[in-house]
Amino acid sequence: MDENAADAPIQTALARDDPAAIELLWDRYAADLLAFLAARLCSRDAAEDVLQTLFVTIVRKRRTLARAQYLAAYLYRMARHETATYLRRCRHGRRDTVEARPWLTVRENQGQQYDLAEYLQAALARLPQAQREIVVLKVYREKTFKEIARLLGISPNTAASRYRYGMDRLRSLLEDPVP
Amino acid sequence: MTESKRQPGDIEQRLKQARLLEPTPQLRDRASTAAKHAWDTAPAEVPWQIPLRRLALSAAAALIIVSAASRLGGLARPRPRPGVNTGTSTPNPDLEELTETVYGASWSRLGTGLRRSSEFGGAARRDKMGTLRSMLNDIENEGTPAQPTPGGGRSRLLPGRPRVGSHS
Repeated sequence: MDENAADAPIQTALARDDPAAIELLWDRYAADLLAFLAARLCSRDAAEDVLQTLFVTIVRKRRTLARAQYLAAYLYRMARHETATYLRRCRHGRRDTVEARPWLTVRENQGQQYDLAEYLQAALARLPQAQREIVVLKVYREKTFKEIARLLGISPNTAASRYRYGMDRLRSLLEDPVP
Repeated sequence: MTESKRQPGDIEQRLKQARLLEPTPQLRDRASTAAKHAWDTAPAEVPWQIPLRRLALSAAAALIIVSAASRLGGLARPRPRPGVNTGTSTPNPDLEELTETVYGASWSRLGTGLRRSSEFGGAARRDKMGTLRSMLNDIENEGTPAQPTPGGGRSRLLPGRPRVGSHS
């Protein structure tokens, strides 16, 4: 499979105990994992902190990762676990983590950038976490339902239905915003 | 087309007016430095050691729980105090008194048998003792038992003894 072939150099470097694996992992997965973490935490700062912690955990578990059958799914599972640990440590919920620094931004040629980003962010933050992470991966990282299903360990139908429910909810939120 | 059957494309377009922020070079440096430091200092987890470590932790936890329960159970049990009858193995005072009478040996054997017997409860044992004591008193005072033994013959518990006043 293509994905496994793309992961082969990373797993080889991990198996050889070569620190260059960190750079390879960063180049291939950092953006996707940061999006996933931001979707789960609704906070850019928290997502960056958890991503850093995740890379340290990856280093500790490098021998397990070198043998992982599907590296990407293992990384997403680790990211989910790190998120749960972070939230447990912080002892605050999703709404409390939405702070000044936005995790969405708008393109430079559009006016009222900050307001639009805040508006979309607030609508996304009102979605259930399971729907929000699929919406973010589909819309912003352009993953297919099949890829999302493999990454998150769910069926493609579940991913599609969560996406549809999320979009329905977003429609009602964006058309009739609750103050 | 109704509201609920609309395709999500329009909402997608609105969402795509924004984009996610990419990882910054500063974040890359920070994360890479932390990861390389961990690579140099912390040993890698060996996969086969993980279940063994969990097993050892579970065994240690079980040991701690069992020993704590045993110790707390020992503390909760009342300690024997002089003059206070707390245990079930304390000899029955009635039996102790009876062993000092003329039929001491028989009572002693009876008491031992009763203690060993599991079919006698506390109340049943007291009733039996009361009956036997009254029979013994009758024998000593009058020479004949007030009630005949159930078998009609002489009780095997009582040693053969000539009647009072039968020999002169």
